[in-house]
Amino acid sequence: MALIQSDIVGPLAGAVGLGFRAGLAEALLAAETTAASFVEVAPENHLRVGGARGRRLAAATERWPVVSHGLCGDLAGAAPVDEDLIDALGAFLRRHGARWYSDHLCFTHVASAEVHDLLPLPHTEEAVARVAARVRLLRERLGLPVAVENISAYLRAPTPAGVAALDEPGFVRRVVEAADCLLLLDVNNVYVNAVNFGFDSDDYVARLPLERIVQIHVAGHLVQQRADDGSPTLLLDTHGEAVAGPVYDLLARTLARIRNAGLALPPILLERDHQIPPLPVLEAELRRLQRIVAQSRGPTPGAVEPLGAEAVGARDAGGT
Amino acid sequence: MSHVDDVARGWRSLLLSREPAFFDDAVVPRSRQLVYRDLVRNTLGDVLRRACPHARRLAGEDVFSRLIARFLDERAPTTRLLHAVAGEFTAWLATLPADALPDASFAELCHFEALEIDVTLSPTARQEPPSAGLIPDVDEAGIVVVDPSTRLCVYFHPVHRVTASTTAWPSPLSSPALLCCFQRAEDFAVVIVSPAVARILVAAGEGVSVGAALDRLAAEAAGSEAVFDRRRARADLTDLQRRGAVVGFRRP
Repeated sequence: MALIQSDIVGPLAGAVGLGFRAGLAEALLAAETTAASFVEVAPENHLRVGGARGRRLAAATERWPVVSHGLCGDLAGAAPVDEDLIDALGAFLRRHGARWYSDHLCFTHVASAEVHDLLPLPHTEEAVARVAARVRLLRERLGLPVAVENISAYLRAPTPAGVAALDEPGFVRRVVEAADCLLLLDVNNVYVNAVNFGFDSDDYVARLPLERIVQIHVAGHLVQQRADDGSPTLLLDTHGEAVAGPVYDLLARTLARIRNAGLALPPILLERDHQIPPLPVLEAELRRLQRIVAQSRGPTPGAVEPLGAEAVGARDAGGT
Repeated sequence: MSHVDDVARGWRSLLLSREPAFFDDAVVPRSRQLVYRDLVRNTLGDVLRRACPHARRLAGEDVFSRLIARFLDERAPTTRLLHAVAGEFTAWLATLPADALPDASFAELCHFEALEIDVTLSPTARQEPPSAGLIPDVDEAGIVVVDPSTRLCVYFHPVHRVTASTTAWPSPLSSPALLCCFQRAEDFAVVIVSPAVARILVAAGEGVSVGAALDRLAAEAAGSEAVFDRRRARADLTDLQRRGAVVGFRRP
């Protein structure tokens, strides 16, 4: 399958959207105007679901394009795919006119248990092959391009003795190449991991196959600090905070890089799953994302100015 | 021999066992491993605490948390749908011996609370209309068609009467309560049904017509001291239809 990024992104190029979560769905639907020009849903939260949640999704579908982002694809799983779930997922994606389907590059199902969290994989060629096989299977069954998302992590899964682990961008690239799939780049996850593991987030992005980035996620994180000097010890990808200043900056530099490569700007999604603030606060974040996109589309490729922290809720969590 | 599978098993041992088996501390800092253990267990625990507020309050936070921990360690969720985890928890509770639970009504109360989530998240006939050809009035030659959200349950304690102000566990009932639970106006609705209506609804699931089910009930009543009122059973079905639990009747 030829994957032409601009064709797949299509009318969503450079669009800014919001995660359609239960905690803000009513407010978003009630708003006469919003800066969100698409919404993203987790199909697992809507499969075989009706009632008020079903009504709200139907209303959202009438108003915005819907992008689907899975939570439990278990891309490295050893268990057979759940045929009923795949069929239901396929029907859901067809019903909502999906242009692609994405899920996370991680374990979600471990030894017969569903953890409902995103667990790091070992960065090995065996894991690359495992994920690639599952992604190809998904693509075939769903009849859609599939994108994998880089996850946030707080540890590196162990690798076998004597086997050198790929570094994270190398692992992501290898998976995308082996699976011949797309990439959903979460810039908050890049930033979180850069702090947690001490690497340079721009180097990371530079090593990715930019021509495969079909969507970008932006979210907030929580900073755990040392008691003595306040320096960050661990960033937690909570989706429960305002987007941090350095994440906006990384997004701006990433978009510039994509534009400089002559590629379509991917749609950008603001994720907010916890401690959901009043909608105007999220709208301010969306508008800030729009400004970053506008600057990225400016006449001078690569000349994106770092943005100030004027937006509501923005804060700096410390540089990489 | 798959290293990826070894790591997956390692994750399970770390996250979902009473005594966590850690990855090699020299390779993976233990503090970071504990971050994941807390995240996973807190996420799943919060889902169950929110799902069963009355059972949790009556049992007490410590007791309820211990049962959650035991569920995670001994069974763990298998569903990929987060909203279905509470149903798996209550199914597991039903397998426990009575002395493992804080009260004889506890498992039923958790079941009823999880059922409320199940019913209110279910599609309804308005959202997933049944196939055409439904007969609107009670038709003895027809089979009952229930709303997709309708569930029939039997409880030995009046768990459906527990509210936020209830301070004591419900006492056992003299005879079991047969509850027809369904979604009405996006809310959770409960109707106590007679044994006859319950039998008709169960029979419908087996493809048995209303008339055949009524005949069966009448035959059973004839051989006993029980009184069977055919007209009353039909009226009860009409009432369930009016409320929305039954959407009509279809010919076999």
